[in-house]
Amino acid sequence: MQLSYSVLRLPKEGNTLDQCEDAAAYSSEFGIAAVSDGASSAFESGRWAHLLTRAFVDRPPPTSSDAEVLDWVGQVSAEWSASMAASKLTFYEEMKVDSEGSAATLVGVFLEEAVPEADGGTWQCMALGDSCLFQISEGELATAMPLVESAQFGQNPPLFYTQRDLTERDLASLDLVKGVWHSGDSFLLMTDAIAAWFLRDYEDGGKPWDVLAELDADSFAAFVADLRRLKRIRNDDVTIVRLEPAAAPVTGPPHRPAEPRRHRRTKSGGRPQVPVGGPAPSGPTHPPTDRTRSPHGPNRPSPGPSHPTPGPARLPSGPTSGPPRPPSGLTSGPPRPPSGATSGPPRPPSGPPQTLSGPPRSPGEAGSARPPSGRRPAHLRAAALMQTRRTFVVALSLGLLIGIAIGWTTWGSSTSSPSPVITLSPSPIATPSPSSTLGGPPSAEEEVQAAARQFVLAMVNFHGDLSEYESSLRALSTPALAESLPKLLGLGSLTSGSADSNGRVISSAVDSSTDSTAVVYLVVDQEVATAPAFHSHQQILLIRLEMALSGTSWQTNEIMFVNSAGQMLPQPTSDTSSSPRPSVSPTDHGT
Amino acid sequence: MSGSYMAEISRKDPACILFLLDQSSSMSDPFAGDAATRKADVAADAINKLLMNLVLRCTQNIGEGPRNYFDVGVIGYGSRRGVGPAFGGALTGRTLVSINDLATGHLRVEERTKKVSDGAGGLVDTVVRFPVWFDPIADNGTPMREALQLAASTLQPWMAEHKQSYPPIVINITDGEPNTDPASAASALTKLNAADGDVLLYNIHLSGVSSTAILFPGSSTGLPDAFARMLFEMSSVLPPRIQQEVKAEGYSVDDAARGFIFNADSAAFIQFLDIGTRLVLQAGGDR
Repeated sequence: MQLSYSVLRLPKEGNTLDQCEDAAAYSSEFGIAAVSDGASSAFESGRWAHLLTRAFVDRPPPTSSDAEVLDWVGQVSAEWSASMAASKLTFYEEMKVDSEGSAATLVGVFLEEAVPEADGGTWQCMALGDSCLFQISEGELATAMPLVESAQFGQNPPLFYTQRDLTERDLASLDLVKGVWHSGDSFLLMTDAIAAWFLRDYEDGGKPWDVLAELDADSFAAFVADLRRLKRIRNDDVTIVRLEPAAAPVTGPPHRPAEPRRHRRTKSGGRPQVPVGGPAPSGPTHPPTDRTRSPHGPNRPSPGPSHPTPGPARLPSGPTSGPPRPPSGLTSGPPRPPSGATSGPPRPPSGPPQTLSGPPRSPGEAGSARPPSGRRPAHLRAAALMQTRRTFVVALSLGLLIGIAIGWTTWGSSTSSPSPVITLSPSPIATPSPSSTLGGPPSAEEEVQAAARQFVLAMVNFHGDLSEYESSLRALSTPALAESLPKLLGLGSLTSGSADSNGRVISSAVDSSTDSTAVVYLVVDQEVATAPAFHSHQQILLIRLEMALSGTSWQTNEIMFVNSAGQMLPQPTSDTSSSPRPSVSPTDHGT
Repeated sequence: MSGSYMAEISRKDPACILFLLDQSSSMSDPFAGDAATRKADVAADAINKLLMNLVLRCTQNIGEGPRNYFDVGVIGYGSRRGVGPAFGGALTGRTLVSINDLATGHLRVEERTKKVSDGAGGLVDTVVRFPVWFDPIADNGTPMREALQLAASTLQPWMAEHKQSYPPIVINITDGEPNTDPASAASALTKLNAADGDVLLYNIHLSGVSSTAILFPGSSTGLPDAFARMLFEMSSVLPPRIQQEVKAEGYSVDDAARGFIFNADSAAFIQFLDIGTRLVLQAGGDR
């Protein structure tokens, strides 16, 4: 990964740079950067902000539990305290150290490259307070976090404190989000004053990232001075770190322009087409991220009628031609459920770990168990966490998985009417297709089916009962299941073809079917370990297929990543004309 | 009240908080229902603590001393000294002092016992240092009008020097009926106008009888007597941002809510002081 960084930092007007209580740090070796804003009311907060950013870059915090984060902050706090102990303090300085200590925001991002040939990778961000991360993709704002609207900037952001109990109190607002980047993207980390301007300008229809991209240190100082004079920005310390990752130079086709990420519908009677990429044998692959959604999509006011409920991640304007837009992300208002599913609350984070390093975080810890921060609508938080499940590795293996899964599934023949709650047809794979290559003892198969069905139901009909979800997840992760699955699927193992991802279909289940159409759910388990800095982690994906019978074979018309009740993420389009990789077709099977 | 009350507080444009403290003899009475606490002691402790918090708030970096984000004063009225500044020690005789002066000018540092969590669900006694700037006094009458007049004559030159500052906040703490009519003096005080708004006058009436406190009323309806209504009329309407703070504390207040609390017990008094000064405390500095 090639990285370019730049840092712009200005003190509050009237102060000198050494009085600036913002801090920034980055690693030129790895894709890590952090920005922190020391709370002025606190003591020696510039020093605290500096120590926090330095620690984030040097030893990123494990985040699988609050206790780990607290311990990490505690270590940084010990450094701060040691520097206080070594200083000669006045009476009131001593009192302040003892009674309050210091406090600061922190936003840090960690980029990793997907695979050497890939045209991008994944990022993980941790944020507490009103310092923000913005991701610019293809000339549009793709991610804003932890705040998504200029109106959210207030006087009392949650903070990291030198005092453990105070940090613990604010940790409920900690944001841990993952996403995907592409070559050409840029990440901007900012402290609050400039971030508030950035979002306000965006809400007014501007492209503030373009403005900032033109500025060097001198012109930035003049620019900020103008904003201050025009009262368009609070007189505060200002810091921006720009991080622009680029994949290693490649010789393949260039980065494709954005296009509607809704995959194509196949024409009836045509060749079976599943527009997903299989393992990429050569050349760069475009990571299959849905570029029209973001973990925390910023809200640009709609020119049309306004919606009373802020939506999950209003999108930057993107290509709008083509098929209907996917239900998620493109509309404001609560997430729409997949057909037939209840519109329950957004599902809390699940499978994918929310970690910057360290072991996967359990679903509850990842965020749903936390009270909403109050600074962002809960559904945005949930949407952001759900988003984390879309990593590029999924699509690399998806075609293969789907092919296998479909060949392995026997369609039910009953016609099910739309129902507010998805009910899976009984034992969809209890009588495996004769053409399938299933092996293994029936008992294991039944075990898989029972567990998978339970999990699918838990995911699709999730109404906030975490324990139910977690028990389903536990049932799926038994060693017996993990071992029997490849056998059941007739495979030694389901390695996707990329070196760093192992995926397997845990199960499939038929939601509804007629003689010529069917809706199928797949549960896919991904193990991802893409960079030396990260431990491997697992992700569970629920994939929804809408299929139709064409001649004697079933075609997949729609592939959606279903991440929760009400959340469906469009499957990226595969463009076979620009990619040499073969498209994978579902296995034909008799009807 | 008029103005935006949005000015940022900085060393260039500091804020001003001025306390007017009733030192009449009735202040030596206990709060209703709490025979052990004299009102004068609670008031002195609360103000001393607030002064300490202001100094700590402004103490931000090693070696630079507290930043002068505030000028503060305490005017006592009712003591044999009449109406005048209450500070003792090095600050004796001074009405408004900077935070820096406050930090170097405390009368003494007391050691007080405070109960703190032992980390295992219990409480343990800890000795904390407690600087004080003035001692409680309780004798003589209640010359509130003269106190308000002194406030006005103190603030007028201050406001002339600090035209862009957040408007001064005057917090009047009393427990009884004034023996001089304060209404016209209060009106004159709250007409003092800065670019960001008029002087804010909050009135805190400390209760001597067991009666429900009336906090942040929006009208004088329901107030028990003419004295309560007079204090209500004297009090400034809360600026919007302070209204929000009050609401955040769980009080339901309307746009007409005033900075007034009637029949406050010691807890309500301390909470009122906290809310009334919080925004200013938060606003100071570079955040």
